Amino acid sequence: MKREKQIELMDSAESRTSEILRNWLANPAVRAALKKRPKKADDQVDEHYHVRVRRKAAC
Amino acid sequence: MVYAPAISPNDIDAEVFRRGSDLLVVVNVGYDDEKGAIYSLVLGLSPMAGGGALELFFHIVEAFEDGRREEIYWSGKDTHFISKPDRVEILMILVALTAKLLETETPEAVMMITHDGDMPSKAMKKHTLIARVFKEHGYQVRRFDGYHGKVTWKMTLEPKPSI
Repeated sequence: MKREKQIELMDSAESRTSEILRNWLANPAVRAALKKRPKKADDQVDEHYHVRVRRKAAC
Repeated sequence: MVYAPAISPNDIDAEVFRRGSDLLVVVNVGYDDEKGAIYSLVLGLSPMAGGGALELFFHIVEAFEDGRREEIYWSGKDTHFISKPDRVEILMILVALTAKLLETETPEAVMMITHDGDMPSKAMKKHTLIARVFKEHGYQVRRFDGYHGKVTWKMTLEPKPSI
Protein backbone atom coordinates (compact mmCIF):
# COMPACT_ATOMS: atom_id res chain seq x y z
CA MET A 1 0.00 0.00 0.00
CA LYS A 2 1.31 3.45 -0.89
CA ARG A 3 2.32 5.63 2.05
CA GLU A 4 0.05 8.54 0.98
CA LYS A 5 -2.93 6.23 0.66
CA GLN A 6 -2.17 4.71 4.06
CA ILE A 7 -2.00 8.16 5.69
CA GLU A 8 -5.25 9.23 4.03
CA LEU A 9 -7.01 6.09 5.29
CA MET A 10 -5.75 6.56 8.84
CA ASP A 11 -6.60 10.24 8.83
CA SER A 12 -10.18 9.71 7.74
CA ALA A 13 -10.89 6.59 9.84
CA GLU A 14 -12.97 8.34 12.49
CA SER A 15 -15.06 10.45 10.12
CA ARG A 16 -15.55 7.48 7.81
CA THR A 17 -16.79 5.05 10.44
CA SER A 18 -18.79 7.84 12.08
CA GLU A 19 -20.68 8.33 8.83
CA ILE A 20 -21.19 4.59 8.39
CA LEU A 21 -22.59 4.26 11.92
CA ARG A 22 -24.79 7.34 11.59
CA ASN A 23 -26.24 5.81 8.42
CA TRP A 24 -27.00 2.63 10.32
CA LEU A 25 -28.56 4.64 13.15
CA ALA A 26 -31.02 6.12 10.67
CA ASN A 27 -32.49 2.63 10.36
CA PRO A 28 -35.36 2.14 12.87
CA ALA A 29 -34.57 -1.58 13.27
CA VAL A 30 -30.98 -0.79 14.27
CA ARG A 31 -32.13 1.91 16.69
CA ALA A 32 -34.58 -0.55 18.22
CA ALA A 33 -31.82 -3.16 18.60
CA LEU A 34 -29.65 -0.62 20.39
CA LYS A 35 -32.47 0.19 22.79
CA LYS A 36 -33.28 -3.39 23.65
CA ARG A 37 -32.95 -3.72 27.40
CA PRO A 38 -30.63 -6.61 28.19
CA LYS A 39 -31.23 -8.97 31.07
CA LYS A 40 -29.30 -8.35 34.27
CA ALA A 41 -26.18 -10.45 34.45
CA ASP A 42 -27.39 -12.09 37.66
CA ASP A 43 -30.82 -12.80 36.15
CA GLN A 44 -29.32 -15.02 33.52
CA VAL A 45 -29.75 -18.73 33.85
CA ASP A 46 -28.13 -21.69 32.15
CA GLU A 47 -31.31 -22.79 30.48
CA HIS A 48 -34.74 -21.30 29.97
CA TYR A 49 -37.55 -22.72 27.91
CA HIS A 50 -41.30 -23.11 27.86
CA VAL A 51 -43.05 -26.46 27.95
CA ARG A 52 -46.68 -26.97 27.12
CA VAL A 53 -48.26 -30.05 28.59
CA ARG A 54 -51.74 -31.13 27.69
CA ARG A 55 -53.67 -33.21 30.18
CA LYS A 56 -55.19 -36.41 28.89
CA ALA A 57 -58.91 -36.29 28.45
CA ALA A 58 -60.81 -38.17 31.10
CA CYS A 59 -62.16 -41.53 29.93
CA MET B 1 -23.47 7.07 36.12
CA VAL B 2 -24.02 3.50 37.23
CA TYR B 3 -23.19 1.02 34.54
CA ALA B 4 -24.63 -2.43 35.13
CA PRO B 5 -23.32 -5.32 33.07
CA ALA B 6 -25.69 -7.66 31.30
CA ILE B 7 -23.28 -10.08 29.76
CA SER B 8 -23.41 -13.79 29.40
CA PRO B 9 -20.24 -14.80 27.53
CA ASN B 10 -21.57 -18.29 26.90
CA ASP B 11 -24.77 -17.10 25.29
CA ILE B 12 -24.27 -14.03 23.11
CA ASP B 13 -27.49 -12.54 21.83
CA ALA B 14 -26.44 -10.70 18.66
CA GLU B 15 -28.57 -8.96 16.05
CA VAL B 16 -27.10 -8.84 12.57
CA PHE B 17 -28.04 -6.25 9.94
CA ARG B 18 -26.94 -6.36 6.33
CA ARG B 19 -27.24 -3.72 3.61
CA GLY B 20 -25.40 -4.62 0.41
CA SER B 21 -21.82 -5.35 1.46
CA ASP B 22 -22.28 -3.48 4.74
CA LEU B 23 -22.80 -5.50 7.87
CA LEU B 24 -23.53 -4.48 11.44
CA VAL B 25 -23.72 -6.69 14.52
CA VAL B 26 -25.29 -5.37 17.72
CA VAL B 27 -24.91 -6.97 21.15
CA ASN B 28 -26.47 -5.29 24.19
CA VAL B 29 -23.91 -5.45 26.98
CA GLY B 30 -25.18 -3.20 29.77
CA TYR B 31 -27.47 -0.45 30.94
CA ASP B 32 -27.68 2.50 33.29
CA ASP B 33 -31.07 2.92 34.96
CA GLU B 34 -30.25 6.40 36.26
CA LYS B 35 -29.49 7.69 32.78
CA GLY B 36 -32.05 5.51 31.03
CA ALA B 37 -29.34 4.28 28.69
CA ILE B 38 -28.55 0.95 27.07
CA TYR B 39 -24.97 0.10 26.09
CA SER B 40 -24.19 -2.03 23.08
CA LEU B 41 -21.12 -3.37 21.41
CA VAL B 42 -21.35 -2.81 17.66
CA LEU B 43 -19.10 -4.52 15.19
CA GLY B 44 -19.24 -3.49 11.55
CA LEU B 45 -17.82 -4.32 8.15
CA SER B 46 -18.03 -1.77 5.37
CA PRO B 47 -16.49 -1.55 1.89
CA MET B 48 -13.63 0.92 1.62
CA ALA B 49 -13.44 3.48 -1.18
CA GLY B 50 -11.82 2.01 -4.25
CA GLY B 51 -13.24 -1.42 -3.59
CA GLY B 52 -11.34 -4.47 -2.52
CA ALA B 53 -11.01 -4.43 1.24
CA LEU B 54 -13.72 -4.11 3.86
CA GLU B 55 -13.11 -1.95 6.90
CA LEU B 56 -13.71 -3.53 10.29
CA PHE B 57 -14.75 -1.26 13.13
CA PHE B 58 -16.10 -1.75 16.63
CA HIS B 59 -17.49 0.70 19.14
CA ILE B 60 -19.61 1.01 22.23
CA VAL B 61 -22.89 2.82 21.57
CA GLU B 62 -24.94 4.44 24.33
CA ALA B 63 -28.61 4.62 23.31
CA PHE B 64 -31.17 6.44 25.41
CA GLU B 65 -34.40 4.54 25.92
CA ASP B 66 -36.52 7.65 25.35
CA GLY B 67 -34.97 7.96 21.88
CA ARG B 68 -33.22 11.27 22.65
CA ARG B 69 -29.94 10.34 21.03
CA GLU B 70 -27.21 7.80 20.58
CA GLU B 71 -23.66 8.42 21.68
CA ILE B 72 -20.80 6.64 19.94
CA TYR B 73 -17.74 5.96 22.07
CA TRP B 74 -14.75 5.89 19.76
CA SER B 75 -12.03 5.33 22.24
CA GLY B 76 -11.40 3.05 25.20
CA LYS B 77 -10.32 6.24 26.98
CA ASP B 78 -13.98 7.30 27.07
CA THR B 79 -15.43 4.08 28.44
CA HIS B 80 -13.85 4.03 31.89
CA PHE B 81 -17.33 4.03 33.41
CA ILE B 82 -17.29 0.31 32.53
CA SER B 83 -15.31 -1.63 35.11
CA LYS B 84 -12.19 -3.52 34.11
CA PRO B 85 -13.73 -7.01 34.53
CA ASP B 86 -16.74 -5.95 32.42
CA ARG B 87 -14.42 -4.52 29.76
CA VAL B 88 -12.65 -7.87 29.63
CA GLU B 89 -16.02 -9.62 29.13
CA ILE B 90 -16.89 -7.20 26.32
CA LEU B 91 -13.51 -7.90 24.74
CA MET B 92 -14.22 -11.65 24.88
CA ILE B 93 -17.56 -11.03 23.13
CA LEU B 94 -15.77 -8.96 20.48
CA VAL B 95 -13.30 -11.78 19.84
CA ALA B 96 -16.10 -14.38 19.67
CA LEU B 97 -18.13 -12.21 17.27
CA THR B 98 -15.12 -11.70 15.01
CA ALA B 99 -14.51 -15.45 14.87
CA LYS B 100 -18.18 -16.09 14.08
CA LEU B 101 -18.11 -13.39 11.41
CA LEU B 102 -15.14 -15.01 9.69
CA GLU B 103 -16.85 -18.38 9.74
CA THR B 104 -19.92 -17.00 8.00
CA GLU B 105 -18.61 -14.16 5.80
CA THR B 106 -15.01 -15.06 4.76
CA PRO B 107 -14.16 -11.62 3.28
CA GLU B 108 -11.05 -11.62 1.08
CA ALA B 109 -9.42 -8.53 2.56
CA VAL B 110 -10.18 -6.58 5.73
CA MET B 111 -8.58 -3.46 7.15
CA MET B 112 -8.66 -2.27 10.73
CA ILE B 113 -7.38 1.15 11.79
CA THR B 114 -6.88 2.54 15.30
CA HIS B 115 -8.60 5.85 15.96
CA ASP B 116 -6.30 6.90 18.75
CA GLY B 117 -2.67 7.67 18.11
CA ASP B 118 0.28 6.45 20.19
CA MET B 119 -1.77 3.84 21.99
CA PRO B 120 0.04 1.82 24.64
CA SER B 121 0.23 -1.90 23.83
CA LYS B 122 -2.30 -2.57 26.62
CA ALA B 123 -4.87 -0.35 24.90
CA MET B 124 -4.18 -2.05 21.60
CA LYS B 125 -5.03 -5.47 23.03
CA LYS B 126 -8.44 -5.43 21.29
CA HIS B 127 -6.83 -4.96 17.90
CA THR B 128 -4.07 -7.50 18.44
CA LEU B 129 -6.58 -10.12 19.59
CA ILE B 130 -8.77 -9.47 16.55
CA ALA B 131 -5.72 -9.72 14.28
CA ARG B 132 -4.91 -13.05 15.93
CA VAL B 133 -8.45 -14.32 15.24
CA PHE B 134 -7.94 -13.48 11.55
CA LYS B 135 -4.61 -15.33 11.56
CA GLU B 136 -6.26 -18.37 13.11
CA HIS B 137 -8.83 -18.27 10.30
CA GLY B 138 -6.23 -18.46 7.53
CA TYR B 139 -5.54 -14.78 6.93
CA GLN B 140 -2.19 -13.20 6.33
CA VAL B 141 -1.96 -10.29 8.79
CA ARG B 142 0.20 -7.26 8.06
CA ARG B 143 0.63 -4.29 10.36
CA PHE B 144 1.51 -0.78 9.22
CA ASP B 145 2.77 1.61 11.89
CA GLY B 146 3.54 5.16 11.73
CA TYR B 147 1.22 8.04 11.10
CA HIS B 148 0.79 10.01 14.33
CA GLY B 149 1.11 6.75 16.19
CA LYS B 150 -1.90 5.27 14.43
CA VAL B 151 -1.78 1.66 13.30
CA THR B 152 -3.40 -0.15 10.40
CA TRP B 153 -3.80 -3.88 10.00
CA LYS B 154 -4.51 -5.50 6.69
CA MET B 155 -5.81 -9.04 6.78
CA THR B 156 -5.83 -10.97 3.51
CA LEU B 157 -7.31 -14.40 3.07
CA GLU B 158 -4.52 -16.74 2.03
CA PRO B 159 -5.36 -19.04 -0.85
CA LYS B 160 -5.84 -22.63 0.25
CA PRO B 161 -3.03 -24.86 -1.00
CA SER B 162 -4.09 -26.92 -3.96
CA ILE B 163 -3.82 -30.67 -3.51
